Amino acid sequence: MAKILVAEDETHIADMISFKLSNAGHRIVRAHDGEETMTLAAIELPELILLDAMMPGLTGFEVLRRLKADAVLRGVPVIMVTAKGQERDVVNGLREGATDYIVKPFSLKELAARVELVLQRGATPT
Amino acid sequence: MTAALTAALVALAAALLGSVVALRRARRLLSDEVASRLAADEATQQLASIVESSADAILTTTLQGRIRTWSAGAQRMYGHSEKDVQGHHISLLHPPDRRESGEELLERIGGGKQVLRMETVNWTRDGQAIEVGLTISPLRDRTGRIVGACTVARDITDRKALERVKDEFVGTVSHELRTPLTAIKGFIELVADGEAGSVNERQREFLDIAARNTERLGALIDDLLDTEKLESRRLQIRDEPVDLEAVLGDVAATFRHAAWEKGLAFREEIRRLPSVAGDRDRLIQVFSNLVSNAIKYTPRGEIGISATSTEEGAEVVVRDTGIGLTVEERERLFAKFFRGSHPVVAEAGGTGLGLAIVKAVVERHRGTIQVESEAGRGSRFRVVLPALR
Repeated sequence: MAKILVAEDETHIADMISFKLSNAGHRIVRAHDGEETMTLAAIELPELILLDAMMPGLTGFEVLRRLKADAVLRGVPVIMVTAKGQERDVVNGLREGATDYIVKPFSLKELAARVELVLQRGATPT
Repeated sequence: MTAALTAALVALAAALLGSVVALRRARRLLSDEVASRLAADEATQQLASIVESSADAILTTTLQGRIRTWSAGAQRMYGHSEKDVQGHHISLLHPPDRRESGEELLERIGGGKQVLRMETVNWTRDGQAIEVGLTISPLRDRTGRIVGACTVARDITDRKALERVKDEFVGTVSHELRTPLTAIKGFIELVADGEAGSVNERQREFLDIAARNTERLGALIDDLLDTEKLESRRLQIRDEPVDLEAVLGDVAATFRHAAWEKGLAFREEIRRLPSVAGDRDRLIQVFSNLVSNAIKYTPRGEIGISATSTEEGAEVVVRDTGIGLTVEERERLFAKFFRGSHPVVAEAGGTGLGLAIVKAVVERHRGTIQVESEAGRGSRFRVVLPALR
């Protein structure tokens, strides 16, 4: 049972991810854009962040950079959610410190499995 | 009058006559020479007016890069007049932060090589950046010695802008289409898995059908985007050594069971193959596509993959004893969205883009693909790939 921050601007996608992960016993906090993600991450100190790569305003990538630059938040594992065809984003994301990534459209079962895996591994060592 | 005088006079007359003949011959040669020089002049003038009428910039430089001639098109494109640029170095046309001597380029020209359609940024007199496509060729004198370079520059700023718009469009479409698809897929999954209440067998079955169709839609979007990128040659294809034997082995391992499940025999004859230069994932995509098609369109009989090394590289043949192709179908087979008219094709589903992508990828690998087939008698797809040099 972990606190998970879901950063996703598309309401329905955020809904389905929250539903699935709540059913799996986790507590979900939702952010709708980059700025809100940074704010909520600092306030809530989640154990995992699901970060959409393409959001209005600050891009997911930018958010990732800021998270990793923050002394407190850099230890929180991040799973990036990208669309296919944005392979460069994935490579950059992993290089910038994202722990894992998943490509839209994805199966919720697969997402849930990756979340469990990342949570089990614990926070990324800095 | 003595005989000696007469003889002398006759000799003189003969000599004079000889001179006249020689003079006439010389005059003929001279007028021929003049005529051919005039014709050459006219040809030169016509060529000059062709050069001047071209919208492209046409200029020549010495082998050190100093500008010698400058066409009207060059003046229109860059804003400089011939007087402004003559004798100046070609780097005058480069953006101020990228003034290069162009030494390497000029060395290539000096070696007799041509530079084709090189894309770069140039700078106009007004300080504007324009994107240009350059073709640079050696300029030779009468003896064939290379004495300079001729550059033809075309303004491709508009084309590049269009490409960027298309790129952005492709990226946006990719995102916009996948987003609702993700939601549809996700919610179907939640219901089908019973997470929103119990579902009966029939409900689950119907939801599975819906889910499979979202997969098809996803594949169609992927194919569409792949095709668009391949068309505009912007698909990133890696250029690394690829173990073709391993690729074919993986493809065979993937599809063997599907063939058996359909009651088809699966024959593999993969010999020692050279490595090829290219993209392993894309090559897997190519051969997977061919084999999966073979299985799809073969109701009974067998599928075969065979591969041998050739002088040039490798030849891979994927054959089947399936429905085959009519002459018309064979001709249009690799066209985008083409789907055959046999009932099996409609039932099997598919986007009609697979073979278009296969052909484009094979060609990007500097290879060729051919099909031999007869309606009702199966098909043979032959892919030839050059070996890694």
